[in-house]
Amino acid sequence: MMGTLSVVLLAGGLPQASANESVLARLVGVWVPEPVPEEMRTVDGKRPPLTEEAAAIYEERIARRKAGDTSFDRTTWCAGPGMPRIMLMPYPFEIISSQDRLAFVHGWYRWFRVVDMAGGEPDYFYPTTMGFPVGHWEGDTLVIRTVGLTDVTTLDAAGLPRSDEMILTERLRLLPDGRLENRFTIEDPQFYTSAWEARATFRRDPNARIGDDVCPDRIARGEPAVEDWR
Amino acid sequence: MSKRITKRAMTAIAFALMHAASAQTPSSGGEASSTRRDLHGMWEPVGFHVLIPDTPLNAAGKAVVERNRAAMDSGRIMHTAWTSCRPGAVSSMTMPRELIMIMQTPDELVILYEMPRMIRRVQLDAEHPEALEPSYVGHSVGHWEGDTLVVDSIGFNGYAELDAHGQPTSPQLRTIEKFSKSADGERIEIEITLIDPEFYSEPFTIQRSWKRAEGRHQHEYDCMENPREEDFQNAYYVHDRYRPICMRVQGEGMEPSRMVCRHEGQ
Repeated sequence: MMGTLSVVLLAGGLPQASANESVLARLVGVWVPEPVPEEMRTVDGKRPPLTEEAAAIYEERIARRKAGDTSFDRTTWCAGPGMPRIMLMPYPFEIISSQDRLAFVHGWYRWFRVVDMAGGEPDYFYPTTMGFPVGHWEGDTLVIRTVGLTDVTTLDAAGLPRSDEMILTERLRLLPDGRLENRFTIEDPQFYTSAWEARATFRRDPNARIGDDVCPDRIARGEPAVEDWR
Repeated sequence: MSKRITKRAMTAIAFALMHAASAQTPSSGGEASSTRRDLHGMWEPVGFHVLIPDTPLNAAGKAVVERNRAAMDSGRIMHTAWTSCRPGAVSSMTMPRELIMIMQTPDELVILYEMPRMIRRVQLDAEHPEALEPSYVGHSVGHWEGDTLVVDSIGFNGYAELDAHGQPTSPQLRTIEKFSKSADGERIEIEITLIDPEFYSEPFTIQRSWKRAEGRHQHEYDCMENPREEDFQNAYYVHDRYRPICMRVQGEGMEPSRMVCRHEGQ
C-alpha cells in the first residue's frame, strides 16, 4: 500500500516538461492523414448538431456541389482551407518543435501554423483561416485551443458552415499502435446547438515529405486544387 | 537534368570562390556561442526594400529589365512571381516583408514567412542532392562558421524577380546568405551574395537586417483569396506563367460574380 502510494506521489511530482519531452519527440515529424468522410461526422458517426439555419445552408451547399457548383469552397481557387479542414485533407503535414513553439507545416500550398506553447494570450486584429492557437499539455495529450478563426472557410469539403465565434479545441495523442489521433471539439453556438467532437487519425509514412506545393501551378497543369481521398 | 545542374553548380562555385577571394572578410571564427547560434524566434525585417540598385546586369539581364521598364512606361502593370502568388525564396531575401518565424532544431532551420507565405528549410551540415527538381524555394544547406550561419541555396526554377524593376533570376541562380546574430540578440544581420551568370556579369552582395519581434503574432497572407478580373486588366506579365489561373469574373446583369480557373492552353 505504502509502495503504491509513493509511486503515485512520485509520478505526480515529476516535472511536466520532462514527462512530455518523450511524447513530443514522438509527435514531431511527418504524418499522413487517414481517410475521413467528405461530410464531417461526429465521433459517433452522426451529422453534427447544426441549428436549423445552419442545416439549411449545409443542405443547399451539398446540393450545389452535387450539381458541380463548388463556389462556396474557396480551396477550389487555391485560397486557404483553414482549420480544422486542412488537417482533414489528403495531404501530409509535419510537426516541428522549437523551444516554446510547435509548428504544423502542411503539404497543401505552403500553409502552416505556429502553436504558442508558452501559454500566451492570443491577441489579433482580425480573424484568420488558421486562427491563433495556444497549446498546453494535459498528461500525454497535447491540447491546442484556437480562437480568431474567420467564417469564410468551411469545416469540410461538402460546405459544413461555421461562424467566426467558433472555438476549436484539439486533443492530440499517440495511440498504442503508433498512430496519431486528433479529437476536434467545435464550440459554435451560432451554428450548432451544442459543442461536438470529431476525430481524425494520422499514420507514419517514411516516404512522405512536405514539398513546396504551389496550388495555382497544379491547377494550370489540369490537376485539382484539392485531391479527393482515394 | 542532374548533369546540367552539376555543371551549373560548378560554375557558380567558381564564381563564389573568386568573389570570396577578392571581397570577403574571413569568417568570424573564435569560440562558437550557443546564444548567438540560436536564431529561433520571431523577426521583423528592418527597412522596406523595393529596388536593388547597381546590380552587375549583363546584356541578357539588361534586356529583361529594359523590356519590363518599357511595359511599365507604357502604363501597364507588371506582374511578377510575387504578385501571381508564386513567390520565390530569393525575393524574400532581397525584399523581406512582415514577420518571419525561425524554428530551429539541431539538424535544420525552418523559416516561416508571413508575407508572401512561404516555407524555407535549411538542412544543417548537409549537402545538396545530386539531382534537384527546380523549385521556387530552391534547396538550402547551412553550416556554422564561428557564430555565422552560412546558407547555400541552389535548385531554383528561374521564376523569381529580385525587385520592383523585375530584375531577373535563372535556374543557374545560387545564393549564399550569412546570418549573424548581434551580441545583444536583438538583430540578425544578413549578407546575401547572389550569383547568376545568366543575367549578371559577376556575383554581388546586399545587406539586410531583421530585428527581434518577440511577443508578436504572424498574420496571414492568403494570396489567392480574391483575385478579381480588374486586377489583371492592363497587365504585363514578366513570364507567361504569371498569367492568372483563377480570377473572379463579374457576372452579366443580375448574374453574380464567379470564380473562374483556367488550365494551360485555355
